[in-house]
Amino acid sequence: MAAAEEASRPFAGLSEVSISEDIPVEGDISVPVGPSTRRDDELSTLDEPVRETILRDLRAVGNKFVHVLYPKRSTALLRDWDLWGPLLLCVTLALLLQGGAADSDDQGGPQFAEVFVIIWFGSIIITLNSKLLGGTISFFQSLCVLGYCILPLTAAMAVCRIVLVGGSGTVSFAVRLVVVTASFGWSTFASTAFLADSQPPDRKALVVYPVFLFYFVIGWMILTFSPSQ
Amino acid sequence: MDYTATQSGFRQRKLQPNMRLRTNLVDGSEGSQLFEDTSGAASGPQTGYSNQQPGPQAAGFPGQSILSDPMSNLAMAYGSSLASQGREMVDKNLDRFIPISKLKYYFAVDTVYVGKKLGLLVFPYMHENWEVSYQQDTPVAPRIDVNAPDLYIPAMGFITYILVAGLALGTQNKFSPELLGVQASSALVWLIMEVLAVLLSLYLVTVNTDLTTIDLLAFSGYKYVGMIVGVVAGLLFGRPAYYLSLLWCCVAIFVFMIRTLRLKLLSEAAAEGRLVRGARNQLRMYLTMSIAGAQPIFMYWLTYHLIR
Repeated sequence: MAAAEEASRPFAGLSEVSISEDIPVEGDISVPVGPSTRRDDELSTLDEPVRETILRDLRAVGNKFVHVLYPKRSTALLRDWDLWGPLLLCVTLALLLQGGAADSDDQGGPQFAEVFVIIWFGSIIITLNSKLLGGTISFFQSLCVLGYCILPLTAAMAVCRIVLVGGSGTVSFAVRLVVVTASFGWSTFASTAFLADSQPPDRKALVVYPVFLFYFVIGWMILTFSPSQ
Repeated sequence: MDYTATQSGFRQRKLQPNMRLRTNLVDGSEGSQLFEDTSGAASGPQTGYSNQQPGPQAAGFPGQSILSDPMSNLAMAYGSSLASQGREMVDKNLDRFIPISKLKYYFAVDTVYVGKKLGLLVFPYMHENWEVSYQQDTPVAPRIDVNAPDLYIPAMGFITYILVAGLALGTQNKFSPELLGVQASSALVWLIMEVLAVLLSLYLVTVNTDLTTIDLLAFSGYKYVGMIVGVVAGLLFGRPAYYLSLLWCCVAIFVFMIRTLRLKLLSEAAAEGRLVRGARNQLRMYLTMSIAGAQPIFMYWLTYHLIR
């Protein structure tokens, strides 16, 4: 009896304990039900219509195009990298470069596969160089940036083709030269805005140089394109 | 209640393998990554819809989810550890063939070094001290010592040479994109043969030197700078300019190679310039001269067909 009273004494005052309203009690005892159901909705993208899935990817790609056209220091291109945009641009550029006659008479313009190889191998080499120089950017992020920054050059190719419809004299050559040079500068500037951030400042020029060469080659291919008669 | 408890427990356990893999992916570069590396096998929940298989399993069949959650959790943990093991194995095996860490040493350059080295390649006459400085038995990074070999200049020189060759062939109306590939592969083959020949002769003469294969690759790649200067001068100003600038660059690279290799191949006394008699030193001297003399020959051989 005494022991029971002794035992109950430590708890005797408990009945008088009350938590006043203005002492904040931390923590959450209840398990939230909301987020798990939301997560279920997010996760079950198997049930959404195919159009939704495709449109979401297209919107992401379009968003990155806008970032390339107005290059400012943002991480949007890098955080969610994807390679759909570069593939689209590469295929468009290769298709636009078809059907041309190069300088010599018996060889056509760059084949589809050649444009592909030049663009992708060039990007891989630049990425390797950037990584070996000690960059903090990852392999696919760099491929993504370089691929997306081909957008101005693809636009220039389209413009060149339109200009060439009107004739291929000196005036059209001058116009094409200006357009290609401007878009080449834009591409290089856009990609360095993303890539140069990942290097320490005394190596920025070393990373920019191969990018410059890469876009120069693509610009050269665009400029020397002349449609077959 | 039970369902949500296992769900949140699962989520916590799923995050941990992601964290482990992400720290593995930092791999040697100065840990402060500017941008999230979402390229690894464990791209987190930010990429949205890529890691979905536990979700629909749990959502679609709530009855079975309590049973399948531990299983899928186990599978996730096992899969991620398998992925990291696989990656380690690939890295280890790749490292055996292409020593990535050693390659990084040759790319530890900066703009000032590249500028000074290019100047040295074209005008090596004023430079006094050609010793490579060491730091406790390991050579110092090229960034700090202008005498150390690097691979950035040869690699960029090679690529620029191919593009300039394409340009030059274009002005002769002989260009097609296939020619770029032909030029690239032929120049690469010549480079490899030259490095192999030097290695063979070093072996035959039994020189024990600390020149590695990559060092030899770097030294053989320095001649592309001279070739580019020659071809560009020829394109801009015509054949006489090509010959003049090529001559200048050939002499410059000859002197550069002799002064660099002298310290590596010859004995101490001979390197200081004193005449040391002895068959071994004479052989090494001939070896140095022939390596240095091969450079102008290659420079001419690889560029004369570009300027017509």
